[in-house]
This record gives sequence, structure tokens and C-alpha cells, in this order.
Amino acid sequence: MRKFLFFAIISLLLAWPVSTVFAAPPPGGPPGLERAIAVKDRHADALLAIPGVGGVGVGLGEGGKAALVIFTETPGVRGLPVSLEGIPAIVQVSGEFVALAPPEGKGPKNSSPVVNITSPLDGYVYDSGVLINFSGTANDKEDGDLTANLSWKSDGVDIGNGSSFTIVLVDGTHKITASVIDSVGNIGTSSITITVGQSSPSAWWWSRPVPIGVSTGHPDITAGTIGARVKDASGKVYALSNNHVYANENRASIGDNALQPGVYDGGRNPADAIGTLHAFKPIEFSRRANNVIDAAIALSSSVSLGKATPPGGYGTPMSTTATAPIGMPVMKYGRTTGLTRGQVYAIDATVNVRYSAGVARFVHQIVITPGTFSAGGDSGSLIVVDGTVDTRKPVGLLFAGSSSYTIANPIADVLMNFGVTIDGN
Amino acid sequence: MQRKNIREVLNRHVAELMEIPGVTGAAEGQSHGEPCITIFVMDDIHEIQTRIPGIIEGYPVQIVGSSEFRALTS
Repeated sequence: MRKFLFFAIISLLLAWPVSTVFAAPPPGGPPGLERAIAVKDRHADALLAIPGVGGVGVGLGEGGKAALVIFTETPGVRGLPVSLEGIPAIVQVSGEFVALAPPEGKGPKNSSPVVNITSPLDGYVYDSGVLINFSGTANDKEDGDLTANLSWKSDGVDIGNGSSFTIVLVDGTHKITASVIDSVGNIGTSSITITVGQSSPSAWWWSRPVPIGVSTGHPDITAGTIGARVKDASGKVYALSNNHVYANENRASIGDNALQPGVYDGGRNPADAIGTLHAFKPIEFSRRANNVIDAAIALSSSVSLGKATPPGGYGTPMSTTATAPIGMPVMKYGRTTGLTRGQVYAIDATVNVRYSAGVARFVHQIVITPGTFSAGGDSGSLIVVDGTVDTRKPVGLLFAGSSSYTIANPIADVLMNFGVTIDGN
Repeated sequence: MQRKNIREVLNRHVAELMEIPGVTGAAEGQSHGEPCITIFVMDDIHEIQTRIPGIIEGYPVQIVGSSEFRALTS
């Protein structure tokens, strides 16, 4: 017990870089401890003035009696007392006391800077010749904010520096890398891939058969997205999207045209029709409603409508659907944001959604993050699994969102409602 | 004591949760890898969270700001 106490006190003192005074002795401490502390206090300044003395403390000496402990930086320091006022003094060679920073080459490693590209989004598709905004951040645990030092490259060629800039890139797919180096030479880097020109969703608006994932809509709405080509048991094919895209929130009539692109994007009625409204599930506009799907199908043909996204997208969806557990990585291709990736954040969600006709409550919905997964105009996009297992299996029909979340209907409910399957692989 | 299935718990309470002004949604979520009840609220979280319980039938409640959910046409 006494031995333990001795070491406990010594360790405390060793961790203290200067001569230290115990405010009060430990209760029930060894005999003479209080007096030893008083003696130490009286002589500490004089002892510390001796060259080579790094600290003074109190410990236990022979026989468990309190003793002064004099810490020296090197062995053989001269002029040290063997006792003071009857209290024995013990000399301990402690080396030099230093502040407790990790020694070089040991302890926690200096960390690399963390680089985050905030714009463009990975997988984003741009029209030819547009100014593209690049922005990002760089933070280092030791050096702090290094954003101003960011160095940007496209396919290995310098394109800019710092937190943000704009530039036009030539048509094609580009690997964008932002990197930064910290004060000890650690490199932090982040990369994304973007496409300029030929794969932009808008580049395919007037092609026939038109790919899925591009602009569409009823003549009285702005624009949404063709989610997928679906087919029924007799082999007829339909364009799948939302009620609010093809049926104008219950206001449309069966047989109304489905335009591609949507009116907002220059689509004309009837010249740009790819099909006619065949069926839709009415939405009940109430905060007590139990809507599950916001969906409609337009009868089309394989001459007007393809079954794959434009190049640069995920391609053709699988015919077999999957359910979406929390955390599952997913992707979609839509009219506004093209190909984006996210993950399932919550399931079996009950949400209130605002439409032009009012607020409607939906149940059993899928919630996806991040907020950049979708934007206005992506309504109707098919959401598929993004991964090595089950990849491109449909899980949801995108129809709503906020700045931070995207909401989707479970795709199985959508397909069952119309008695159709995804016309995919 | 064994907890009830989270889906049952959510179904039992979702109506009352959705009645709280400022709540935009309620779902089965995950917090630190554990199942939780996720409540989506308009962005003024502090004002609303005083009216939402911290635990519902043994499941922690996670409150997240969502702003209003809207149909996503252009």
C-alpha cells in the first residue's frame, strides 16, 4: 500500500512540469507528509535555483516516511541537500520536463487534410460550353482551414486554385481532383467524375426512341421525369412517372398527351407527344390520407420510348425490384440533376407533401439523403440500387423532397397498382 | 423487457406525432446503428422539440430538420 502511494505521488509529480504544491495532503497520508510539504514549500525556490534541478516534490522515503523529492535533469547534479529541517531528501533523475506534446515519430500521427468537393456533384452532366462552378473545402486537424490552398485538376491538368472558381470544360467525361498539402507534407485529395456535352439529359430531349430519365409532362404542367418504360402482360409499353407529372394532380383526363420534353423545356402539344395518359392513381389531398403512390402511366411504344438512361447514367434498370433497407446505397437519373447517388435514410415514413392542389399525407415512404440527390424536375425518376449486389434493381419512384431529403414511393406498390413490370434487364 | 417491433410502435403513434404543428414526417430510422424513430420537422427544431417525447416505447427519438416536402416538378 505504501509503495503504491509512493509511486502514485511520484507519477503525479512527474506529470507536473514545475515545482508543485499539494493543496492538501491526501487524507490518512503517511506520517510527516504535511510537514514535508511545508518544508518543500519553504525551500522550493532555492532548490529550483540550483542548475540542473527541474522540479521538487514530496514522496515517501525509507521506512514509509515522507521525504522531499528533488528531480534533476541529469545525474550528478551538485550541491543538493541530503535532508532539510530533518526531512530526508531523495534525488530522482527525471530528465528535462517538457510540455506533453507527442514526441516526433511517436504517438498520434499528424493527420492528412480532409478535402471535400461541394460542387459539382459526382456524376453530374452539363451541357456543352456552360460555365461550371467548382467549389470545395479543405480542413486539417493540425493546420486548420486549408481551403485557400486547394489545387484543382481535370484529368491531371491544372484548372484552378482555392475555394471556388468557374471554367468551361471541353465535351467529354472528366475526372476532377482537388488536393491540398499540409505543413508537414501530408496530402489530402478528393475526386469526382463529371460529363460535359454529349451525355446531358437535354441533349436527348428530341431523340426517338427517347431515353428514360429525361424531361416529360402533361401539357398543363412544367416538367418532370420519365422514370422507366414499363410493360403489361400483353406486351404494351408505357412511360412511368408521377400523377402530378402526367395527370396534373388528378386534373387530367385519360387520353391526354404525355409530352417529351415537358412544356417548361420547350415541348409542344401535340407535336412532341410520346404517349397518352393511360391510368393514374388519384391523390387524396388531406393530412389524414393514407396515400402510398403518386404515379401514372402513359401508353407509348418502343418507337417513341427506350428503356435505358442516356450514356453517363446507370443504363437499363433490372426488371426485378428490391426493397430498400436503411443505409442502402441508391442512384437515380433525372431531368434536372442527371445521375446522382445517395442512400436510404429512413423507411416506412409518413410525410406531408405540398402540391399546388394542397397538402397530401403519404405513408410507407422511403426517405433518401443527401439533399442534392434530387431537385425540382426530377419527379418521376426511378430510384435503383447502387452496388455490386442487386445493382440497378428498382426500389422507388421519386416524387417529392426538401432541401435535405428526397421522398420516394415503394416501387412494388406502384407496379402492382397498374399491373405492370419494369421493362428492363 | 423485450421492446415491441418498431413498425408497430411507429404505427401506433404516427397519427399523434403528425398532429404536432411543424412536424413534416415520422419514420423508422437509425441513430448510431440502432433503430430509432425519426421525426422530420420544419427547420425551427428547438421550438418544436419541446413537444416531442425523447423516447417512445423504448425507442429513442431522433429529430431532424427537413423544411417542407414538396412535389418535385420544375
